[in-house]
Amino acid sequence: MQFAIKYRPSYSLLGVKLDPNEQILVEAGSMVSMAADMQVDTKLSASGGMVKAFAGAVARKFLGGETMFVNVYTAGQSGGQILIAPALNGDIIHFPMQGGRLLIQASSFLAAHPGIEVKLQFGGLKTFLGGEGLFLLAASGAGDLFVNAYGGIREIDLDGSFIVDTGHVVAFEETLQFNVKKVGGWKSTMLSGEGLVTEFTGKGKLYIQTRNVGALVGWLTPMLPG
Amino acid sequence: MHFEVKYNPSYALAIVSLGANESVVAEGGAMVSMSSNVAIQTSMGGGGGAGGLLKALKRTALGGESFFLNTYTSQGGPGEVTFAPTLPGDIAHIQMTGPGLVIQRTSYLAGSPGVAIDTQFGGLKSFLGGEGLFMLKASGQGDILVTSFGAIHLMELDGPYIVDSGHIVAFDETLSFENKRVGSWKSTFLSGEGLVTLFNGKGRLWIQSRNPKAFGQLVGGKLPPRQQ
Repeated sequence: MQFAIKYRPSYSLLGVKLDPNEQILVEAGSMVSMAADMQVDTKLSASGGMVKAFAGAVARKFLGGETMFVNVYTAGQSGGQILIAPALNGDIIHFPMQGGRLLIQASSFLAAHPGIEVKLQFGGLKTFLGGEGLFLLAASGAGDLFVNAYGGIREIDLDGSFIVDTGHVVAFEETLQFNVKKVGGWKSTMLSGEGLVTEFTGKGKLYIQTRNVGALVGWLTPMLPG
Repeated sequence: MHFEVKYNPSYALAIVSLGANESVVAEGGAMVSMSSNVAIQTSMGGGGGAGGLLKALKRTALGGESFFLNTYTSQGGPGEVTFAPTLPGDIAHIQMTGPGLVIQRTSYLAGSPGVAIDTQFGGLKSFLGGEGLFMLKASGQGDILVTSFGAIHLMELDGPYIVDSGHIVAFDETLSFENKRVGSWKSTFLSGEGLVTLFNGKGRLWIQSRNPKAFGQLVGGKLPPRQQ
């Protein structure tokens, strides 16, 4: 698998060249174009047993993830290229996974080598407060993983503690502890415009996005005709 | 006539410099600014006069979009007109010399008067991919400007190739195209890809790195229901 990311950061486009019969997992709806002999299969996004997978996929759908399904693309006998892009404007980054686990905000998952296992992080559900919060997928294994963001992606080498608006979280290493909480007192929660924040502690890498989908929706909503 | 594209790829703006009595044709609503000596004349796409109006109405009745073209003419001296599309993205300047160009309707921005825009092209076949994409055909000699949501990626095709129809900007008419479902029926319904377009032959294909409908559905799905 060879890859290149063009048109960064605003309109990044991921191009992946697969070897003969090689596979890639792609978030549903994210294929832009591909070799005509590429095979497609669709499966539930969370791996594991069927029941668990379905529960995970449904949870992902209703608790803030984008879709319930991922597509598995398999190159033909002579290999083939696929172009992949997320729905939102923003950057794509590559993680060369070598063991270890990366926690990913559900709508930021874009694509992965089949050697990467992507599953629902059930603990992530506890981070939901009032329908808002951090909904996470856990990626583990070895291979190429691609994550997308709304806006640019800022990498932070954390050693200590750090607070991020929850709508700006993209991904973080499992070595970091996290806690979703309200900002300040109730007055600040209601009036600060910040809502929920996530406090990270420990040592590890944290990736945040420079724009927030919830904020875009919040801006558009009062503009709709009544 | 001189074309310049600035602020690309994110917020591309086309700056068209006209000589005295020279004209440029553009999609209705695309004009950003113009010199005060530039006059506008509006016509329907697909021909002028009553016949054009009838065709535009027929298109609307068939579920297409009406398509108005404005002709900007610099009177009595040189002038400048600038154009921009609605969505953030790039503008490509294409020199038309030989074969015609098929353009996704919302990607057409402007062109020189020597380029004819046919809105009747392909009939129902032009509603690509079940996504309600209406295709135009440009033919003749001259300049044409096409726009994208996101970056424009040019591909030189030679043989079969599959594209999500929401990512099509334009392609040479030397390419054949047909709608196709993705994978098995399961994938057609669940993959989020629905129908795609299978191209074949030899020619250029311009694609956009974002899909307006996918963006609209992602953001629209989070908006409150419209009040009746």
